[in-house]
Parts: sequence; structure tokens; C-alpha cells
Amino acid sequence: MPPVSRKGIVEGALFFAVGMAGMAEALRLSRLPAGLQQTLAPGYYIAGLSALLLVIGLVHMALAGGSSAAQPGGVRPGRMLAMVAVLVAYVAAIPIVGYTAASLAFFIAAFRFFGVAAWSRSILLGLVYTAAFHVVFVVYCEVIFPRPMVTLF
Amino acid sequence: MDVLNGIVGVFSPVLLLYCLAGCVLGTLIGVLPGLGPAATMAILLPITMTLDNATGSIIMLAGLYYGASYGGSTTSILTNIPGEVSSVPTCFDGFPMTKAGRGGEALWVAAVSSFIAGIIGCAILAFVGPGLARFALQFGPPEYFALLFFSLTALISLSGESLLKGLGVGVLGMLLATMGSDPVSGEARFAYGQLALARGLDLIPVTVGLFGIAEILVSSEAGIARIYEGKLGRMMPRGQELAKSLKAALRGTFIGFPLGMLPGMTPPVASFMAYDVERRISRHPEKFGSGVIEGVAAPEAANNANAQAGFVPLMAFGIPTGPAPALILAALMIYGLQPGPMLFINNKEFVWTVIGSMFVGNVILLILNLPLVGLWARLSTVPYKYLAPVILGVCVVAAYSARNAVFDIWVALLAGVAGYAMRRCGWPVAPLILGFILGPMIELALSQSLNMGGPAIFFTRPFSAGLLLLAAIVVALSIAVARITKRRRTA
Repeated sequence: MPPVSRKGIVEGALFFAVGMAGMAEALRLSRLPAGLQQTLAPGYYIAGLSALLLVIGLVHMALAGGSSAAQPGGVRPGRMLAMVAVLVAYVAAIPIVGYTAASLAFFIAAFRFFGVAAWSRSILLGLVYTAAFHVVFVVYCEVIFPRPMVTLF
Repeated sequence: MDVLNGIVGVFSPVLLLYCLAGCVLGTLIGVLPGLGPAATMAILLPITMTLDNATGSIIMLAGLYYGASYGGSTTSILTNIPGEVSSVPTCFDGFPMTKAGRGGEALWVAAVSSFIAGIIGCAILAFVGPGLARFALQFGPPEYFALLFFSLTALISLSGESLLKGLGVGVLGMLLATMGSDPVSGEARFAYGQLALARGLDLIPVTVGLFGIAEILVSSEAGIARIYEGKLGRMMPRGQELAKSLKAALRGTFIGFPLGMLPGMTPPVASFMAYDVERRISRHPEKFGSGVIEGVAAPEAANNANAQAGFVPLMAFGIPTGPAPALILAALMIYGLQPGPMLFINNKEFVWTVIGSMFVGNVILLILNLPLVGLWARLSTVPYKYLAPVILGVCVVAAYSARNAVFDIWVALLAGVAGYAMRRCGWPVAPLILGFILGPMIELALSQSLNMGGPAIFFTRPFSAGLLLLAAIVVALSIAVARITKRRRTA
């Protein structure tokens, strides 16, 4: 019996799950009254796409049964997860402490993460980059960021 | 005459500055490995919107796109690290030339080949574009639906190793694009009572995440090498070498341009194909890979001609052939310009100024890439640890400023993680973007066509029937070719 690829099963199941969610939404929409002159009733287009995803998910799972069970090697998601955690903290901090303060903290953390060894250098670079971003986006491009919930001044 | 007026129009200080900025940025991102033209365009798109100058923004984005085709060769030749995927074939012979002390010649040939391809591409665009646009005026919703459906066959060439994966990701992109309000009834879809979800997903955060953030997440693990620090040698090749490289550049141009007008035939496909053709027609195919000048000229010309050709279907039909043209399409739509046949009539001055800018842009790029090549070589030595935080910072602003919504940054972040996972698991990313962009257009054209005369309308109108038949043939042929290739590999 050929080895079963767990990765393939998970990927196929993901597509199947998205297809199911699409079908549920299509069913909800199809219960709504169609508008005048509307041949393609609400939900039909979504139902078509979702059906395709369900089939693709099932076929992918079926093919995974006959494929190699080898998993991609050499992948260490630790660094990626740490970077994502820094980004999540940055995005979460923007509405709380404001764009500029959150950016300063983010840049310092990002420089440390990407390999700037000295804290003093990371802080200096963070200050320079934050000032540059503030001038370009807040002052020049007039991007309006959310008002911070917590302010020092 | 129109094109001459367009070229003259570019020589206003503001437009010239935008053109120069696009070309410089394009060369810069081409030189720096890890950030492609689609990612940079996605990042810069919301920022160019603040310029309040539609012509200038499109000129800048277009310059960025074809500028990246020029710059991508520098790191391929000097370091064996391709700046862009389309520059991978340039590594095969460009880097051996550098190791042999002929890096200067390789860089000269790459720049001149790109220039030749760019100028010929612009001329064909100016010549063919208006005719195609007039032809497209006869199109109704069924023809557009058929054309869009045919464009979906691009999913095949963008799928990489597995057609099933490409199809799945493409359909997923189309499904994600349905979030938000129904184009006909206005009913909220996939909103689950949340206002942010009811607004739907915006293209910019999705592309910024899938390309920009994902690229950084992948690169942070890979690490980037330093540039080769050898001598460049003399620049211009002599005698037979010069003649051989110019002929190869012309062949590359005429391979790259027609391919560029077809959906999914993105610059990487064209440059690989041009390299392969050169090797096949060469009297000494065994020398390819050891520093043959045609191996640099042909792929560089092909990828530049291909990038230029993408503007033909984009401007004449409003149909993008890949992720980068799709972002230019998005920019046109954001500015309220309807890409397609009416663009040549309603916004004649705009179209010809953009086409004129491409002639000027190619000259700027030749100047940037010949005398300043040493500068670009030094720029590619900027350590990644200083570059990556800037790119991430710009990604966050780009995602936010599209709609001034923090929700969009979360979308970009989620798309970034998804893009990282897709790359790690060997799932192609480009079909998702293609599906996301074409999805709403297909839904609208389908709805309008069905209202006109039911499903039969697609088969009673010759052009739509022909295109649907062609799409079926392309799909069948692709499946057959994939099966034969797989069988040969396993044999």
C-alpha cells in the first residue's frame, strides 16, 4: 500500500473546509429573493466556486494517498513565528500607543531580529527610521493613522 | 503622430520626474534580491495614490515594472543571485562571464539587449494597441466573459509543478474576492455581521501580504550573500561577439513579445524559453553555461519585451496577463480610468503619454544601466538586516493607507503568513492574485451575459464561442503535455 502524505491530506482538508464554508454562505444567499432581471441568483456563483473547491480538496486528498510521504526538510519556522509575533505586536500597538511610538518599538525589535547586534545601534537606527517614516507618510503623504488610546503628552 | 505627441508630453518636468523615479526604483528593486516588481508595485500603489496625478502615477508604476527587468540582470551576472525570477537564465552564462573577467561585457549586453527589446516593444505597442482597441469595441459581456475565462488558462502556466494546486489556489482567490457586497443585489457576503468583513477584502493588503511580507518571512530564514567583488573588465564586446549578441537580442525580443500578450506568459516564462531556443539553434550548445554571450542577450531581451507586451492586452482589452500588469490595472481603476477599448478614445492623451513615457523610460534605463552599473553593484551589497525592517514598515503603511483601516494590516499580515506557508509547501501564489483580480470581473460579465440571453448566448456569438473552444483546447493540451512530461520523467 502506497504511503499516505499527511501534508497532502491536511492541504486537501483545508480546501474542503473552505469549500464547505462557501457552500453554507451560498445556501444562505440562495434563500434570499432574487432581484428583478437577475438570472444569476445570489449565491449561485459562490456555490459554483465552492463546489469546485470541494472537488479539488477531495481529489488532492485522494492523490495524497498515492504520493510520497516525505515532508519538506530543512524548514525551521521558529524565526518566522518570532517575526510574525513582532509584527502582531506592532499592529496591535498602533491603535493603543499611536503609529509613531509603535513604529519606534517595531524598528528597534526588527533590527535586533534581523541581526543588528548592538542595542545602541538598533535604537539609533530605530530613531532615524521612525523619523524618516513619520516625515514621509504622516507629514508628506498625510496618511491619517488611528488616534492613540494612550498618550504621554 | 499620437505617439510623438505622447513623447513630447512626457518632457514636462513633473512627468519626467515620475518616469525617472519609476525607472530608478525599478532598477533598484531589480538589483536587490528578494523583492520583485509585483511586490514593490503592491507596496507603492497606495503611496502613488497620494500623488494626485493619474498620468504620473501610472508612468511611475510602468517604469518600475519594466525597470525591474533591466536591473534584475545585475545581481544575476555579478553574484549568481537573480534579482528577479526572470533573470534566472541570465545567471547561467552571465556569472561564468564574470568569473572569467568579462562581467562588464555581460552587463553591457544585458542593458543593450533590454533597450533594443524595450524600444521595439514600445513601437509595436503604439502600432498594434489602437487597432486592437477598436476591435475590442465590438465586444459585449459574453465576449468579455469568454476573454476573461480564456485569461484564466493562465492559471495553468502559473501553477508550477501541479495543475491541481494552481487551479485550487486560483479558485480560492476568486472565492476570496466575493467577500463584501454582491455586485447586483448588494447583499453582504461572508460578512458574519462584521462591518469590516462586509466591506470585503481589498487587493492591496492581500498583494502586500502575499508578496511583500511573505518574501521577507522567507528571506529572513534564507540569508542573502554578498556581491562578487571582482573586476568588471571592458564594457562593450567586440567583433563577432557583438554581432552574435545583437542577433540573439532580436531573437529574444521576437520570442518575448508575442508571449507577453498571452495570459500567464510572464517574463520568467519568456526568458527561459528564449534561453532554450538559443541553446537549441547554437552550433555549440555544449558551451552554454560556461559564459556564452547569447545566453545573456536572449533572455534579457525576452523578459523586457515580454514586460512591454503586457501593456497591449492591458490597455486594449483591460485584461492583465500577470500579477504586475494586474496591479497597473488596479491603479487605473482606482483613478477612475476604465481600462479597455474606451481608454484609447476617452483618455487619448493619457494613453499616448504613458506609451511615450515608455520610449523615454527605456532611454533613461539605458543611461542608468551603462555608466552607473558600478553604483548598482555597490547598492546590492546593502546588508539585508538594514533593508528588511524598512520593507516591512512600508508594507504596514501600504496595507493601512489603502482604506485607512487597521483591519487591512491584519489582512496583510494573515496573507503574509499564508504566502509564506504556500511557498514552503510548494503552492503557487500568483494564481491566487490572478483569481482575486479576475473573479469580480468574471462574475459581473457572467451575470450580464446570462441576463442578455441565458447560457446559450456564449455559444451563439462566434467570438465568445471561439474563445471558449480555444480555452478548452489549451486546457486539454496542457494536461496532455503535463502527463507526457511526467511519464518521461518517471521512465
